[in-house]
Parts: sequence; C-alpha cells; structure tokens
Amino acid sequence: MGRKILFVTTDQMRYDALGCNGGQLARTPVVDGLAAQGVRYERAVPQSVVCMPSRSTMLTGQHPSTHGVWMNGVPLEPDAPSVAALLRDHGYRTALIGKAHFQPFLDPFGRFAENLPVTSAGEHRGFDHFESATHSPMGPLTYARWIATEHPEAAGMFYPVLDAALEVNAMGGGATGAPQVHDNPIPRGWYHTDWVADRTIGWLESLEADDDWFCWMSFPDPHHPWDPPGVRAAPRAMAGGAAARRIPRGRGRARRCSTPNPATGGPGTTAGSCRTTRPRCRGCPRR
Amino acid sequence: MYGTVRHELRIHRSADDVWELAGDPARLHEWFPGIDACEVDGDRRTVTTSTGVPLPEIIVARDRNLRRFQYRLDLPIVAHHRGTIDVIDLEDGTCLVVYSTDADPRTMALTIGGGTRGALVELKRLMEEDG
Repeated sequence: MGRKILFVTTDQMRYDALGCNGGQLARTPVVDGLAAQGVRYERAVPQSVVCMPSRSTMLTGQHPSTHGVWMNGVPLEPDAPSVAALLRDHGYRTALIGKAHFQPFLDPFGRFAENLPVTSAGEHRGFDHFESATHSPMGPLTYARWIATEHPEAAGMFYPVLDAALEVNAMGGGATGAPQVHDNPIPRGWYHTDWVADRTIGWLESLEADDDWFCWMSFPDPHHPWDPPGVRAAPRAMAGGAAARRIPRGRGRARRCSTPNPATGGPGTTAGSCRTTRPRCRGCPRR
Repeated sequence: MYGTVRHELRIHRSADDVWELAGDPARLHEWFPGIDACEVDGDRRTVTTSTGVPLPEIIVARDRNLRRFQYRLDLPIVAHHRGTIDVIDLEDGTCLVVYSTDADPRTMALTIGGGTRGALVELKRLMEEDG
C-alpha cells in the first residue's frame, strides 16, 4: 500500500463558511465529517488573500516575497519550486485537476504554458496529469474544451465574467439582483464542480493500489460569479429552513461551547476551555 | 477613450530588410510568438493563436514608401482596433520598428500589447541573427 495525498482546495471561501468551523448557513456535512475524524489546523493562514499569490505559495512553499507573485496577473516563474515535482521525483504519481492559476488567464496568444492546449493534457510543474478549469467555460482550458466539445449548448448558460468593456462584470441577477449572481440552468453534472470531482475520481481509478500519489483537486467555486447549477441553488436558498434541518445538529456540524466568552458575556466562540466533544467550537485549543 | 499601447525596438538591420518580413501580412506568424498561422485573402487576414483561437482581421494599409502596415480586428466584441507597424529608417544601416495598438475596449489594447512587445523582440532576434 502506497502513500496517498489528496489535496482539496476551494476558492475564495472563508474558513468559517464550513460547519466544522462554526458556519451556520451552508451545509457541509462531508467536510464536517472529515474534520470530525481528523485534525483542524487552526493556525494555518493563507499567505495572501489574492488567488495567484496564494496558489503559488501552496505549490512552492514560499512566501509571495520569495516566489514573486505579488498580485494576480504576475506569472509564477516556470522554474519555481513545486511540491508536485519533489514528490514526482520520489516516485509519486501526481495530478492537478481543476483551477491552477499560477499564470494569468487573459492570454489570447498563449504566452503562458498553463493556457496551451498541449499542456492541458500533459505534464505541468511536476504534475504528470493536468486538467485545468476555471469559473468560465470560455478559453483554452480543459474544462472549456470539454464543454465546447461535449455540451456546446451550455457555454452560454454561465454568468459572463467580463462585460462588454472586458472589465469585471457587475451585472446582477438571481433572487436578489446582487452583482455576479446568476441563475444557471446548466445540469449539475456539467458544472465545473462535478467535472473536477468526476475527473479526479477517474484519475484515481486509473492508479494501482500500491501507487504513491499526490493529487490536487482544485475546485473553482465558491469564488464569484455565483452561478451554481439550479439543483444546488434551491437548497442554498432554503439554508436555515427545511434543508438545513435535515442535518442533525451535532453530527458533522460545529457546536458552540457553553463556556462564557469574557469579551461578549455570551457563549464562548473564542479561545476557552471547551467542554464539547468533537467537533469542537472554533477557537478552543485542542485537547 | 481608447486604450493605446506602443512598443518600439531598434534593429541593426536595414529598414528594407526588416520591412520585407514585418510588412508581409502572410508572415506574421514567423515573428509573433503566440500566432501559429496566417491566412491572407485580399484585404482579409485570419490569424490563429497558439490557444487555437482564429482572429479575423481587415488589412487597412500597406504602404511600401512609408513602410507602414495597419490592420484591425474584425470581432463583435471589439468596438475599435487599429494595429500599426512602422519601420523607420535611421539612415545608419539600422531601423526603428514601432508596433502600436489602439483599442476599444481599452483592456484589449493591454491584452494585445502584451504580445506585441514579444513580437518585436523576436523580430529583432531573427533579423540580427540572420544578418
């Protein structure tokens, strides 16, 4: 039996959006279940709040001041260190499926390897297997090509990320009319969240049982635009209602401990002597 | 207001030699990194980028005396575009090549301008190596 490393990332999601971290709105029973059986690293913080710098840090293990990607649009050097290359050189099978974004997306001339079709089916920064996706079904990435080939009618269902002036779109939609919100009629199985999961499962099933492997499963959501497939939009609107009540409290959902918080006088949500069993409330030290 | 980006580079080769390559609309892919193919039909040109995107263009001017080549993208999302390549004789056996991009939406000028700088660098390399 080999060593298996599945590195799952979501994009632009606050840590407390998860139930295991105190979130009350979204239902995240699977992650909560993993957290209940594992370790929550409460002092792990991203080295940048911006996508490309933060991702470059995950890949290289370096601070932005070292890898040089200080803002979106600044490409990571092609020869930058890569945890995937290190593991591959030690015999691991490696894959990145989903959003990479170590180099800029707006790249019509293919100046960056990440956007070239040949890269999308092959090795990239130490990942033997690379299939790319982002929030839009447009452009040269693997997911966009899959949509164009398999479901071309779906390409126009997504929120247009850029407006007519090629600036970030502010058009509103959905029930609230909020910017970057859009009712997406796409079937769930065609949306990039399921695509990333399906492609990852497919790659994992191609491995031998005793293979060592490292897979970065990189979901583009819940980064804006907020245009999930319809089957997910409805339960989200019901959060706190019937849908939320289907998840038994205390099972895979963080609970607040009853220790008073000296700052607020209410139940403790900051560091305290937590008496709850797993999952613990946020802020309480691990016992 | 249009976005406008201009790059220029001195090339140690005669203006005539450089114009022979830079002024030929069918040879853009030989010196513009990121463009894989060019197809010219009268005043229409279609270039295909490395990402597989075909870009239809209209050739606006090709002036041998001025050594000026101008073209524009013919895409619905581009309200205005004008690409201009000038090869200016410095009368010492070298020349200055200027590649200008004007566009509306403005962002398009930046996006294209990121490629034109690399094109000039490649043109210089090709011409000076060859010379």
